[in-house]
Amino acid sequence: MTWRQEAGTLCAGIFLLGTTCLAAGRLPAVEETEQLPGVSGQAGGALVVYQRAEPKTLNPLFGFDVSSREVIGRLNADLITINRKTLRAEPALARSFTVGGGGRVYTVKLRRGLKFSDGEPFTADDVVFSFRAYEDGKLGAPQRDLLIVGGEPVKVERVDEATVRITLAVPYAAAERLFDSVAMLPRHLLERAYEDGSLAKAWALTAEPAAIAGLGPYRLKQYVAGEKLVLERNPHYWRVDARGRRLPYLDALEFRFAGSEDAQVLHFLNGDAGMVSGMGARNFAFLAREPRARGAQLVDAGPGLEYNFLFFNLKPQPPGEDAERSVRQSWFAKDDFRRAVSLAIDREAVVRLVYGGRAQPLWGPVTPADRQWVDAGVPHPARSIEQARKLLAGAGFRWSPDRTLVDAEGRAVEFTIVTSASNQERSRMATIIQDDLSQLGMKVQVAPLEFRAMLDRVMNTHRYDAAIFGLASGDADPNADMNVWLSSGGMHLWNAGQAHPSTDWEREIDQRMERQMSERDPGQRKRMFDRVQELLAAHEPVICIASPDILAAARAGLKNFDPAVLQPYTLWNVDRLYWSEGQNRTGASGRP
Amino acid sequence: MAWFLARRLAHAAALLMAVSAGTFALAELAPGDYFAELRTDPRVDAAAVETLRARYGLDRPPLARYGAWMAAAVRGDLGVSIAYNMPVTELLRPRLGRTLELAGVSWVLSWMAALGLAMAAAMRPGGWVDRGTAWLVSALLVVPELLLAALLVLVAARTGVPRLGGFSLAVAALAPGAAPVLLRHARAALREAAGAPFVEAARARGIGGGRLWAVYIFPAAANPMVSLFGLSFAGLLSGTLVVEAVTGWPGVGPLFLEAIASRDFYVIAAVGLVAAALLAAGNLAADLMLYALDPRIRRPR
Amino acid sequence: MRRGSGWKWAAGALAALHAAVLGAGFLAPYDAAEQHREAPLAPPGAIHFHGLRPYADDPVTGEPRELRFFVHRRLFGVDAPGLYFPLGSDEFGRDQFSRLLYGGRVSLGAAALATALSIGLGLVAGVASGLAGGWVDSVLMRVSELFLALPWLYLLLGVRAFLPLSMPPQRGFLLVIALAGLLGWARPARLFRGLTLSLAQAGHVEAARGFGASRFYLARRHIVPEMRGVIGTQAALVAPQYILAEVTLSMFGLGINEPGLSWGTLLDVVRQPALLTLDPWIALPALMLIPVFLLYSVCADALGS
Repeated sequence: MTWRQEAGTLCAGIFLLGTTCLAAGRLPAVEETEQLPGVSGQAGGALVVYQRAEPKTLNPLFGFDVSSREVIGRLNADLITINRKTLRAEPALARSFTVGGGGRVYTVKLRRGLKFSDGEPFTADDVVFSFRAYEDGKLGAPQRDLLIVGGEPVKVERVDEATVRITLAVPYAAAERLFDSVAMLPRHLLERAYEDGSLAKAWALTAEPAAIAGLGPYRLKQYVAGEKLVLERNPHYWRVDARGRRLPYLDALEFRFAGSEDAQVLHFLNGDAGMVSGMGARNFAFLAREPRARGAQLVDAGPGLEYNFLFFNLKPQPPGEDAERSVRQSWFAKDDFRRAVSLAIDREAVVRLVYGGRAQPLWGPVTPADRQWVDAGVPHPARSIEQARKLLAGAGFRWSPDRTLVDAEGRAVEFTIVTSASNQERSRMATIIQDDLSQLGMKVQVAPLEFRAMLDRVMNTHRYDAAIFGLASGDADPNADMNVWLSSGGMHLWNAGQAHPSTDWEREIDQRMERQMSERDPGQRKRMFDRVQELLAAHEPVICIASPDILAAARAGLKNFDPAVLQPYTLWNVDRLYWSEGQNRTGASGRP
Repeated sequence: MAWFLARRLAHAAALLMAVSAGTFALAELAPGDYFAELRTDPRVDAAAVETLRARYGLDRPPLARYGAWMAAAVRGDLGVSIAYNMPVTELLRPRLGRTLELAGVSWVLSWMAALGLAMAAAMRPGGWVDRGTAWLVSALLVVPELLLAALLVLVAARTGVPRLGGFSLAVAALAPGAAPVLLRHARAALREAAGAPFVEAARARGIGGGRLWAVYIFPAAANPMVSLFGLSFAGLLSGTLVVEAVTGWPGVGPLFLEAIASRDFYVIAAVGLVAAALLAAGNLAADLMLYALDPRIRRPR
Repeated sequence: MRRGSGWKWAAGALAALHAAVLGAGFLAPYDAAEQHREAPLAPPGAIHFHGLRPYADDPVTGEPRELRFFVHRRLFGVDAPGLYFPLGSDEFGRDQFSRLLYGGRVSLGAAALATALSIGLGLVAGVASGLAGGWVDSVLMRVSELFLALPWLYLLLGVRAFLPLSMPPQRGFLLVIALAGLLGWARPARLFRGLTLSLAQAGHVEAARGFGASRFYLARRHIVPEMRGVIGTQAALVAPQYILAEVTLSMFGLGINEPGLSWGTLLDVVRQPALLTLDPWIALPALMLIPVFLLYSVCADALGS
């Protein structure tokens, strides 16, 4: 089985090497490539990456799981992209863009002379077509919501061959960030499918490689169901290195599927994989200790944008629903109750015991990774059982002789925290929290539920007391989490979809979030979002606990390996990864 | 013969219907649906999720969905995978091939091992082979496939043999699970046959050694083992589920487990149906072999 | 292994094990949930003697602590604030030996319950099917085929999700395992049916039937008593399978997860190569379980022969 695959890869590599030399030799004069200063390396070789799960589709409109997005992102490119290192928006397929009309009109100049991976030219018509597809309500691509600003889809018009005008219904701060991960589609391949309504079914994994084309560094070569997905170098890619040579360096990129994080790590250890990302701290420590991984680049990129938190169910129960839960909710609704819980949680122990020290404690949802937006003014109170007890006593709670916490009516404070059973870190966090809260006399039950069963309770039936959850902001910008902080939002977890904000502080958060969204002065936005963070810290509707570090590893010879804190952590710069001289150039060991 | 076959086929068809209905109902009972996770993306609105649910008919009542699915399934269309956005048959075909390959090879190996050991054990009852196999059987019977597979993965990760994610690793994890039951039955059948009066008679006539085993004992013992043929294959098939997931063999197992976790209804229902069909086929084959071998069955009871 | 005294001491050892697990509150040096966050993943405390007095090294400070009997109303241990972990501690500094004992409560209880349910139900269905014959037999056997073919995992998933949240995870798991036992009647039922059929042809049973004995009488007086050995074997074969089933169930979030406790959670370390490599003693409780499973199979073999 293996030798056949490896031989296949080898042949493909040799073939590719030939074609790329031809293509790299003469760039058409009109082609406006992007030159990456300071990037240089050597072409050739292949990289094998084991993903946790198999990708589901290659259709950019409907790939929303992590694995699919990881592959789709390598096959396609966006007008404007967020630099994973600086977290700032940069023109990509756009050569430049200007903002006018009071922040509502973006004029985007495209790079001229670019070609899709099948050799067909990329023009403004493709951009208009792409947005038409994304914004089509009947098609229902999830990204459509991103492109609705002020209640209306953004309007995209062709100005000329290489210029488009994008008009928003209302001014929207940092709107350019919306275009990251909105892949530009080839009109010549997809228009017919769009017209006859079959676009949703297009570009399945089993699609012919010739039927798929994109503007990313790679293009599809082969898919073996359940086993691997092989990409080959896109000879028409629009970026060149410092010496003017066309990127990417690696001839092939091969995705294989491991099934679990542990299997991913074992494959890396065995030499089957060139890199591994999204590891937990324990596996990271394992690799650091293993002699077979000696020399590998182990990178702790620091905390990512994920914040893990505990929250209480504050959504009013429908009449006739569990009366006892309403009693419990009357405790949860007290600010001092939540503050006491927060003060009692040993965040240091969570970081040390759950994450092996590779995480940051959190007191607010914006992690230290988001340097631009994190509010330095949010207090970081030290853990204090004493302080927590004072708050509880002030809120009318007492302790019975057996040290059980009881409310003013003498009812023992007991509640259940639901967690996702498949997320070991959060289950272990619950173990610590349970123990911490028992020191306040609270009797906490932990119920690990299967992930979707848990989501069903938290988001649909609302039959729960408290939950531990984690969210990773999709972008380092407050706008990405609008749905979480607005009281009307569907992801306003503790009390979603309110017709009117039920508390004064939620009303204020609503106002600030709405205003910062249309504010164009970054300083003003920052002040407004700081205020939101302070309100969240003061009332603690979500008790933030920790943000795990982004951990990744690569073989010693893989150069330019530079993990980022925003997805995709390691493959964002795949176009400039290369194998150094004298290194095993496949990323896979030579074992027969 | 025709009547016998017809009755068996009718049974199989009824079993298939019942299994598919049961699978569908059970999948329906599990809370949440495929798009639950998408809803946790703060940038995706609930309305968009509703549009997607409607596309796959998830907004329709379960009975209507089952009816439509069954009607299509009879024509060989097993529906569309929500996750992969492609026909389930297309999704299943390559993976089913690998699973059958794995189960088939493990089946042959486990039968060969079981028969060989059982013969050796039955030739010298109470000998060290007999006692050794008894211990082996007891040990293997308790160890679940998952544990064995996990241990083998550990070994593979340490030593590189067998190769991680390879075929031999999966076979090594699967075959030992099936062997003990076979071994137990084969040993009992062989021992019973070896003690039968006609074998004694043959021995008395001076027939011994290989000829005694090949001509007298083995054919007599084959009979009770035939019904195990089909059943053991079915048992192996259900074992592939976990073994594939743990060892990383890309068969139906990982797909099915993923489908359960993500509530990909039509994949779940289709795998249930295909598994039941294989089970029914195994039983049918065993019945037919028994029918051919054992005249007593041909008489109606 | 042969019939004789073998199964007696195996059964005795199993009984002692059950007693030890019930007496965990006294035999275990700590409560299973007691965290010592200053001593996570500590190796087993080595014992050395000064004269006749046993000492164990403290996992935090490293100084020797005297091991004594009857400390803090427990059988043995060291004086606070010292710590002693006979099998080491887990990632929260919980005593692994105590967890082994306490964990047995859930696992052995669940296994006993599920075994009783599946064997009992299988016996009733199998004997009824074998004695009644006719349409009762064919319906029961068709239903058993269906039960063997259905993917019950979803039912278990669904049931777990519908259980009230305030139910402690252990009890929820007990329910899931009991349900698995209820659903597991089909295989033993088919076995018992076959046995009933062959026993019913025995001379004395035929004779009793000739005297007009009812089917219930036949089952009670002749069939079931004759099957005692097989029932015992089956139970001893099935029980460890239910203990270990949890390892598989936990793959789906149906087992016991943190902070719950059972033998399944202790065994789950085999799926974590990193942990096994970094802190190998974490597998000690799992290794301690091997003799337990051997006891079951000795029992099964002795009863079966």
